[in-house]
Amino acid sequence: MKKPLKRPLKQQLQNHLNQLHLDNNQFAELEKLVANGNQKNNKVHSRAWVPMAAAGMFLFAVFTAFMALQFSKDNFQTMPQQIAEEVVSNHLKLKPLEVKTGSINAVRGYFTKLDFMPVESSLQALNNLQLIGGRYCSLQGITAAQLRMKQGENLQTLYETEYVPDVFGDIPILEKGEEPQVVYAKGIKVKVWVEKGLLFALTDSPDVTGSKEMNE
Amino acid sequence: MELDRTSLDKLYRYAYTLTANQADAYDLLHNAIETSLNRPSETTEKNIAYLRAIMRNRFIDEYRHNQSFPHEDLDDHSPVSLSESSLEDVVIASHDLAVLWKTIEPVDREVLFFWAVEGFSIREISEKLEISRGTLLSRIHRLRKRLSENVNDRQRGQA
Repeated sequence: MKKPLKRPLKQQLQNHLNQLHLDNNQFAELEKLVANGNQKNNKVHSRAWVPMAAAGMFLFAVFTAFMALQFSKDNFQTMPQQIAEEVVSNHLKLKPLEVKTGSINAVRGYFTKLDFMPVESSLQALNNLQLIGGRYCSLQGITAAQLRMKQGENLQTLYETEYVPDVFGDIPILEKGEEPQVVYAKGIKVKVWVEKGLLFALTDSPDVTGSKEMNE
Repeated sequence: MELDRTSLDKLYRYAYTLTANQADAYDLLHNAIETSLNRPSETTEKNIAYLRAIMRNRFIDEYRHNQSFPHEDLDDHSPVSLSESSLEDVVIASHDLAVLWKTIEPVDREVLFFWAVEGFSIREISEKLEISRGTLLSRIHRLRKRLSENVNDRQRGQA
């Protein structure tokens, strides 16, 4: 009897397995299965973009509306106007003073965390005002000194902060002989100007009394 | 999903490696393709890998209904004599292989398939089957022993 031919296991395994093929019917059936699946997936995918597109358009519309509102607000309000709105809003709140003093030197001694030194302005309107204290604050996101002044029974608020042209834009500069810009916010007159490298904003409010301050 | 005849044949061989039965192999492949159509991959290679994983998981699930799929942890401290070439010098007749193929464990058939047909190294096979190198070498050692014993038994029977 003829002995069966022995070959290396690897070769025999390759022969054994590689001789296996799907027959034509099996192949055709699987091919059809794959094609049908692809067709179905394409239909699903072709419909899948509809809700995604709708959601995208909705978000785009919301974003556009939001930006339009922001843009129109920024455009209708000039920077001095925005400064006045912020100053008056805080002026009316009359928040408690952190330092109570009539001395500008004492005020400077208190505001040690500022990137600038509070100074006295040469504006004539300040001549009749008496410093009574101050507190840390901010103006358009920049740290500021909020000083409170007294004129008889009236209280006024004076903001001083570093003048950053990129943030505040063009503001009248006193040293150039320009007059402070006068804007109104909530019925209160506000003067805005630049002096000694600092931006100033001063309320001129005859209606605000010191009653709130005295009650604190 | 793109699957040409060569790819389908390769998958069919892998299915046969698991089942050791051509009809079962076809059913397993058909079933796996149906499942994978819901999640087609970008490339043919990924599709093949995904289909293999589906077939293996399905086969193990079904196999466990009847008997436990052998996944026992063998001794990781393999004998020094074990090496990657443990099966390289084994010779066998085609008829003996065809008979033995149906009697060895599916996991051993998988090892042989990846080693002989796919040309994977021991490290690649152990990664693919998620078993440690030591366990795989022990399994190959036992497989080699079993192949030799079975062939000898058959030869004695024929004599």
